[in-house]
Amino acid sequence: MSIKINDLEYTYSPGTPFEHQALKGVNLEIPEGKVTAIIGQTGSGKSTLVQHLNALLKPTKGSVEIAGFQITPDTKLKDAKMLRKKVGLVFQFPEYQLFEETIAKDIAFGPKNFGISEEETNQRIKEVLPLVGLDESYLERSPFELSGGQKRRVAIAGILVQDPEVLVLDEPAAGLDPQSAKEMMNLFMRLNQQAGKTILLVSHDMEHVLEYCDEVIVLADGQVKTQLPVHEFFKHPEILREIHINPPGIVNLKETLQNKGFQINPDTYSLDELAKEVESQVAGHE
Amino acid sequence: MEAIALDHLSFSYDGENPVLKNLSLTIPKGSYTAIVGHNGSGKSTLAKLIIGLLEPGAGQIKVLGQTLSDENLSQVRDHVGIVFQNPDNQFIGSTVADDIAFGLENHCVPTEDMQAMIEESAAKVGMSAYLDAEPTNLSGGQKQRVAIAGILAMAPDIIIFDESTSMLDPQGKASVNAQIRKLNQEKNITILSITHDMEEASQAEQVVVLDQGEVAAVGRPEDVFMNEELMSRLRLELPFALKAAKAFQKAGLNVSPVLSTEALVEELCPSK
Amino acid sequence: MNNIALGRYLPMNSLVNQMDPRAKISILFILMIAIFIPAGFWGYVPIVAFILLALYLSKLSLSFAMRSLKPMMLMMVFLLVINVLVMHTGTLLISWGWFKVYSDALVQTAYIVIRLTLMIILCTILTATTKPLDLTLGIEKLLKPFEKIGLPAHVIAMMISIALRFIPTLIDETNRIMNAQASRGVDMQNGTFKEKISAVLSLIVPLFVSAFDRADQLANAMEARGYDPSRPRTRYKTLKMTSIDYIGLALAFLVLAIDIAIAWL
Repeated sequence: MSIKINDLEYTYSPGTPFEHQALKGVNLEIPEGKVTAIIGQTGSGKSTLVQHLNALLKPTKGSVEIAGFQITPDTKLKDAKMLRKKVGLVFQFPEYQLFEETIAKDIAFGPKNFGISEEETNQRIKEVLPLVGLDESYLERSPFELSGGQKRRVAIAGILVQDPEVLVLDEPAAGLDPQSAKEMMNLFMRLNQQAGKTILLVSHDMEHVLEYCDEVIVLADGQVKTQLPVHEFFKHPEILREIHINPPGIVNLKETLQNKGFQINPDTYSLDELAKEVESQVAGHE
Repeated sequence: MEAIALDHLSFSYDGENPVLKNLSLTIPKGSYTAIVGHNGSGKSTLAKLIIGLLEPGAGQIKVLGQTLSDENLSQVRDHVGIVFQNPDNQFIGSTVADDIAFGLENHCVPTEDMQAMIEESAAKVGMSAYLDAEPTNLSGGQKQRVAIAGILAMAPDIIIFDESTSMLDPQGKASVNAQIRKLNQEKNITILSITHDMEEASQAEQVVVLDQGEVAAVGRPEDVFMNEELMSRLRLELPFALKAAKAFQKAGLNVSPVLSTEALVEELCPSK
Repeated sequence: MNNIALGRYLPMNSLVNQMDPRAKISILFILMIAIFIPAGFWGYVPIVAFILLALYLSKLSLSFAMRSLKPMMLMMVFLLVINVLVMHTGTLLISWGWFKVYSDALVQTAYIVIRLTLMIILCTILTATTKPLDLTLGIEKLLKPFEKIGLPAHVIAMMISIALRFIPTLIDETNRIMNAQASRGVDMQNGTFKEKISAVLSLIVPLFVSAFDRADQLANAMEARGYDPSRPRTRYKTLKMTSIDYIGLALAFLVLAIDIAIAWL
């Protein structure tokens, strides 16, 4: 079932001098089983929108339909708890949410809160560990003796163990070196392709958006600016420039080539194909 | 004269696992050097050693001709500034002006001289309009530029960037990278940038690749990055323009390894 | 959070805003002494007059000052109850079976409530008209004479100003961790005692871990920029007393003198 967002409005600190409307009537339908990118500048309403997906925030107006739940301004926190199991939210720098003495306990913290049996939890931990690239020898160690990248894997395991239907990721690769970032993204891609999880990715990294996402949603000033399939989206780099984000390298290169008079197939997004196209035209000139 | 000379440097946090092994390296005055390598390659440890936050287990560090010791540490630090990774955790003042003033206060600059120095440094990093702004109202990129201004006020010879852009969004990254280039070219400040952003590393004059505490390669960025064996062994990502140049070469096009998209396209059609 | 009046700085361009923090802190100190002089109810008249003048000059409304008392209301009621229960002197006012109210209980409570109210309003005016950093600087300068007897005034001031600087950062961090743990099923409001303990731990431990991380990095950054607590420093911000400050101080001394006169002459 897809995620539906209807006329969603949200206002911070209503009725005070600090009142600020972060979402101004957002309408979206996000497909199930796909990887969808949410992009926009700081202050565009991205993080406010994301916090509605598991009812950390309740709409001021409008509604969110997700994973069989409907969140409206009248939703009670108690009803939202099981929603949070089904919609896993990974915040930026999740390594800062670890707190238990052992990695096993930390990963089991979520399931315990959601009332999942210990037996099932232990089973799930065994399944989740290899997914994030850790093994069982880690379980009894303290999370605080790990490196930054490993801590983040543990924190993500703590969300995956809930077996959520939808995963919302806020800059999951921020601050990692390119190699670790790649491994992290590949992990999420496996979850999408093999386990069919719906993934929402909030990211500034356009290379990642182009490489890993199926659809792109652009937010600007609390509203949806565009929603397009990824390859359609990157045919319009001007949208990105309007929100001061640089297009991916290949999109830049295609543009530069076109400006120099090369004929480039707009659907080309691989360097090797692009090179062949260019080669045929240079050869033609000579 | 070398800005920084490292001579057979070794370091370990716990006495067992060496972080730096017998490392020797020279950084010429006025140069722009990027140090790349994986997390755990010893990059950030190196930065802390050079400004004396850590002491080497063995070997020598020479900064501007002086061998680093307890006696001359504060004197050497007058010439070396460092911008760290986390923009929030190095913003000490309550406002931009106060933060830029912090270093001046520590060096007992007379109060009446400060305002002009603060304004001048803020102007150099494009933060003049924000002198009274508080850190909560600034973006990460702006905070890092304030950190740079705080260092510039001290008129340093060397600035070290320790993964200073890794927590920034692309816009912030671009603005700080542009700033770094400008400092090197216009002010002739020696830049040592520790980074895993290959796009940034490719704007340096010299790239040093660290691997497990040892220097794996030193050279011009295009030479180092075109060393296929090294790059794949250390699983380092190529900057985009080089990736494209390689793809073009593979397709039979006659292009040389260049570091920008524009230069690459220029190579294809010099006549156009 | 947004309704708290006590301790919040309001960026307004008033006469009191422009005053030297040293003068304002000293005035607060002088009036505190006046408040505690046993001059009877008449003794509060000059103090109240001074406060009303200060409120007027600082462009603060009386209701803003009153709002700062809110957190104290419960304490004042509690005080009244205690006094009524333990004080059995003066004239008997009410008597319902075992429950008796004597006049002294009411008079004593009234005194304490008046003192507390006046002090809180004074503090509110000070913090509302003085930037936290200026306040710190004022404290540092006023403590300067005590450096001779070993009081590290500038270190104390540096600690306070860094604490103030990081309060908003830590509030953001708290919100982020709370959201992250709520996403893992933590319910801060409901649940058994044991669940609540683990909920609090899941917030406190990460907060401490990150605060220590920050402290470590901050110490490095400060050291790299040449900070050494044992060495002298110059200051960017300087303070200058003007005629308004002297008039304010003189008025405060006048209030104190009147109260001393009422009490002992």
